[in-house]
Amino acid sequence: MYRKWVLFFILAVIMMILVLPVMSAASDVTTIQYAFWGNPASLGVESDIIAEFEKAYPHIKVEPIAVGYNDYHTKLLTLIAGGQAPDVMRLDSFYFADFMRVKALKDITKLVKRDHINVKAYYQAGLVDSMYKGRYYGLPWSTAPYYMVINLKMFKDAGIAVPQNDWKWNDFIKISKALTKGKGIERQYGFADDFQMFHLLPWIWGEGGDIFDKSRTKFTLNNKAAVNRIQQLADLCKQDVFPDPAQFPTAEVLNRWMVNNKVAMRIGSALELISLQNVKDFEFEVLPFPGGSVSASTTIFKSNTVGISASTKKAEAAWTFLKFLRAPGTRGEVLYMQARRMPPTVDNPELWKIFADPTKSPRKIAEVTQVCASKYGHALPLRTGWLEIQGLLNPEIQMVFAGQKSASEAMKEIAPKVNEVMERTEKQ
Amino acid sequence: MKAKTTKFGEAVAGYLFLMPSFVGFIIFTGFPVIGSLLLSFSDWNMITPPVAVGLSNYQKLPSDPLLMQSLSNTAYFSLLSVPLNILLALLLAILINNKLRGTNFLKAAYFLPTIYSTVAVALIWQWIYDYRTGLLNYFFGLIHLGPYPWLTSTKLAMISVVGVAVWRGVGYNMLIFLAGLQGVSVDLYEAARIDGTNQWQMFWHVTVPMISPSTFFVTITSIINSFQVFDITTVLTAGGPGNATNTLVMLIYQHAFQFFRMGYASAIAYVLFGIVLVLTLIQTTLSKRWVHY
Repeated sequence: MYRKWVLFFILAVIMMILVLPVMSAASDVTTIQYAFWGNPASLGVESDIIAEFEKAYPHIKVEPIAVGYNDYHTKLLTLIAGGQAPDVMRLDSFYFADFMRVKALKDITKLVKRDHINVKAYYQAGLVDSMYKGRYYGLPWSTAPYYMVINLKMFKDAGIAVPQNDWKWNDFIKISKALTKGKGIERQYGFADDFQMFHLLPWIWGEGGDIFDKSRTKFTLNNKAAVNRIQQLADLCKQDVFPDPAQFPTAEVLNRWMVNNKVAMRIGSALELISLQNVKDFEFEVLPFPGGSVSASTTIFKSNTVGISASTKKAEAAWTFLKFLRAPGTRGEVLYMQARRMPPTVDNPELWKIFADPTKSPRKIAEVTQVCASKYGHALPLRTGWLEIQGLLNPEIQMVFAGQKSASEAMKEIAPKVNEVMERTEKQ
Repeated sequence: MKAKTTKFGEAVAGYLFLMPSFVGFIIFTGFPVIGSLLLSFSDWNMITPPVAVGLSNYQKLPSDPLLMQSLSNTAYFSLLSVPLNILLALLLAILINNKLRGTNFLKAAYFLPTIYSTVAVALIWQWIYDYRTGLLNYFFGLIHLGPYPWLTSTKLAMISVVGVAVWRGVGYNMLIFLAGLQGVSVDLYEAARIDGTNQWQMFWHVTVPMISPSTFFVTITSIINSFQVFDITTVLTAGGPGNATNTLVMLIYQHAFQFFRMGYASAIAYVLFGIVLVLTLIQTTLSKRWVHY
């Protein structure tokens, strides 16, 4: 019996000797959580970035929280509400102001200055989507225009040349009408869109209108310039120059029409371009949006952001990872480019060389993105309550395009409701 | 004394067996139900602490046009889908109960949509309903009808949604009816036949009363499910066109998780709870007149 106890004691001591150094080493490692959205194809690059980061910074371990886009912001909000906010998180700019309203992200302005992050290297049109009241709350992720996507086969078959970057509304209408032909199921269209609220803005910007005034505190879509342009677009749908937007409940349906040569032009995000690139033998090009009679800056230029949780207790480790992930000149951007996950966030020809495959559509993407950033780009006037305002406006716009209301009636009716949301979300 | 101890032991064992389910119910249903009731009297954006606002959320409800529209859409969906689902399920159950050849295959075929993922079902139907390339318009085209804007017209969209919901739910209800039909004693039919009843009288005076518990169960669950419609409308139409298929649960989701108005969303959820509760109570009271156990 006595011998058994001695043996047990010796074994326990050996175990302690073996385990203690491991435990002490483990306590030297700071673990942070990084939340992002993505489909299975996009998860690989995130894992590669995390692996490289952990190799470069062995004292920081990154735990990924990957969620599909549709549920991502809900999940993030739930995590924050439950006191389990991830240390580093990606945010879609549509949600940015609302998350800022509830102080979800940490002000990183001091860190940006301390570590001399070259913020000027970013596309400036996208950098604004990471700023709130003049301060930095994140670094840009996926800064890109919403391009006008051109179906090259349909243009070629109709003998129409692809327009130049400085094309205008009148050119667009002329081309759209020329490309719209056929009857019934065989009918093809020059342009198609679901005409959701923010897709209408480029057309309205061209005429000098906007959804809000400059201070983003007053709803202005009921102004003459905006109303007229919305009505013009709705009339074109009524005349069957553009298809009924209700036929495109999802982006996939519009993609299907386009790759089947039923639609010659559409609005497309950088992510949608990747889907189109995967369609065999589908040749397409991108352009800035056509300019209007008042402004040529009509292409939506949108950026998402990656920030640090305001409640993190591991701010320094989170910042080290964020820099690796998003700061100009670091490995994160190169790895994203190699995975062709999104266009460069910084204006760097070397990165464009990695990202853009000259043998694949769209061949002009680097040039078009650069001209959009410098000349034709226009940031969305995002603000608190944006999604609620969008939720109010989209059904009204659908009614206008279905011919059930005029644009003037719809905007007049909806204005008080939008103003109520603006007032409420401004106060909170 | 021994009998008493045994009884006590059995009771303890019974409660212990109930415990996992009961604890799960308290944690995942009981607390959220009470929590959302409290939240409905507050303004909460899910991050900063909730602010008590009294009855303000409830006072706003009657003047919310979107709520009224969603309520009427949900009622319309219920009125169309519940009777259609029940009648079709009963019809299929009667057909299958006739023990013809291939009924096992038919049983599986009708039940299959119930176990499919709703998202997959909605996506497939999106293709079938497609205005230009959809199967449905193709078949209508063969008889020189259409094409019809199944999902894009404010008048047709909800009917199309009901079509999918019925197609998906009819198999489950059919099985409940089938179980009810198979439980009806053959003696009753024989007695009725001796009394000289025809097929219709037999169905009406024997089958219908005898399967009334199944009918009651199917009606209650179908109405509750119809008021909770969310997934089909979300994927198939996203509530459009022009809010024509926006339902109460969609509105709750939008306010809670898209507009960060958890308090207001909870108030709408309690309105929904009230409606379902009242409908269930009415049915339970009326059931005493027509349900025969």
